[in-house]
Amino acid sequence: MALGAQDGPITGLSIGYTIHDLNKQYQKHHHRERLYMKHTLSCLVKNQRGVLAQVSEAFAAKGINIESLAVAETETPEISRATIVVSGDDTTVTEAERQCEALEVVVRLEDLASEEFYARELMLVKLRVSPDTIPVIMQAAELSQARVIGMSDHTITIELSGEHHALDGFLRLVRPLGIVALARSGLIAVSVDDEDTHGEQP
Amino acid sequence: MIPAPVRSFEELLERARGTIRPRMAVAAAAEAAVLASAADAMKEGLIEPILAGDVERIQELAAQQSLDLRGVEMLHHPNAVEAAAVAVRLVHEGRAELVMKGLVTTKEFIRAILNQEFGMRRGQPLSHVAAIESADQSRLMLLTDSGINIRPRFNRKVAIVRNALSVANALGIAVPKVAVIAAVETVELPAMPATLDAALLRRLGESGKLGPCIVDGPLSMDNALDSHTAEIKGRVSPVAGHADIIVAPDIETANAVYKTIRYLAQREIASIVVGAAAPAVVSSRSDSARSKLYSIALGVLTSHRHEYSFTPQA
Repeated sequence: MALGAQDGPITGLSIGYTIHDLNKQYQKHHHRERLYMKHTLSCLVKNQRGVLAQVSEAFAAKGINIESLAVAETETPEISRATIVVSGDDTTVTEAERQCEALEVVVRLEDLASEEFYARELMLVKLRVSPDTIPVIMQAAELSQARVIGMSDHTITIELSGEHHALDGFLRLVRPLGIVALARSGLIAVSVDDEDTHGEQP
Repeated sequence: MIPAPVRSFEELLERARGTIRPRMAVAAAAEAAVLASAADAMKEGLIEPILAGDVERIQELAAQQSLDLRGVEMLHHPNAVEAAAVAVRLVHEGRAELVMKGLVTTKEFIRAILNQEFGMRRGQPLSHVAAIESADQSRLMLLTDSGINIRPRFNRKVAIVRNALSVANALGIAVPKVAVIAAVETVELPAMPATLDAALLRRLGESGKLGPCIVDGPLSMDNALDSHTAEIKGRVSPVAGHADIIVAPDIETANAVYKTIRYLAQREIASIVVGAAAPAVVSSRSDSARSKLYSIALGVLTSHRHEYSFTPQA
């Protein structure tokens, strides 16, 4: 007699927050974020000492702040992929990109803003937990397909990976509940093209 | 005021006999065993049946089994789905306090219960609660959910526990002891998410959010059922060995336990679906006549306690 679970609201629990309340806060902040123009850059660099400092300097020289930077080896150990997210007007970012491409340690740089790409980020967030907030935290985690990876007497730690805005959305939902610690990996991205940028070897 | 706890199925029958008899609408009643159990329950003084289904066939089956259905209201609806709708509509209109599934699929029966227009929905999830006698036959215990919620997430488990608590209260257990079952006794993540749910349910229980009850989890089944084992293993808990409600992590576990009790241990089980405006008796054709009668009795007692005795804190 197994049936599909019938969905319904959580009722009867005396809790301080509802998903509806938290969603309102999300809407408030969403408009503000759209004013920023972000560029996602995929930069293949030689896997050697000092590379990150050189790449960072290319952007800093143009007054561009790096919002996130994630670097790790590719399938070719001598090459690392740095996914860099920056905000700024197109002209300044393009100039910084050219300066960066001119570096000897940079194999290739692609601005994915104008192309289709797959982008993901990993986040670990530790939340303060109380009996009042347990149902809301768990519902937020369920809705966002996040995973609880740990709990203690006072906190619960959640892992969530996904698109940048999905992680932001989750944070806006849970921020009023009390974030104790937050770590984000920064965005990682690859182009949807069959041909990736690994053609050139160092 | 909650009466003394019901300790056995015979006491369950006795307690149900002593209540105001609810009207039980039988959906698609033209099925021999269902008809016999409804007639039996009527004879026992548990219920007043209202039979929705193919009346000609009902009368034919009654004659074959020598059932006395004199004075029983019958509503002629040969189509099973229509008969299920009519039965739940009786509850919706306040003309019945209990429903029983007859010759209609469980899926169609539950669909009728959940119908927005004429169903019995009251905005909270349904769940299956089974009652069994404890090993020493000193009390009744509840097992949930072996029939409705497949892989409930945390908030659904909260609703499942609350539904089971309402049944426990109906059985006279004022402060039910709830064991949330897992394979181990500590939170193991990410390998065993059920242990997290169990620990969080315990937290909710401790805070009073679930009403008067004692929740412990994660508890392994042996510790939940046997205080001696819990003592040997050093598991100190008021629930260990004294669980009134066993909350399984998912339907596979609960269903396997249910059928092990039924077929390996050869014990009777009563079961109902709760969470709607009235309890529903959803027995299997393979259930014994006695088991069906106990299920109806469980439904009778539960039908007199639609609401939880506990009012959530503001």
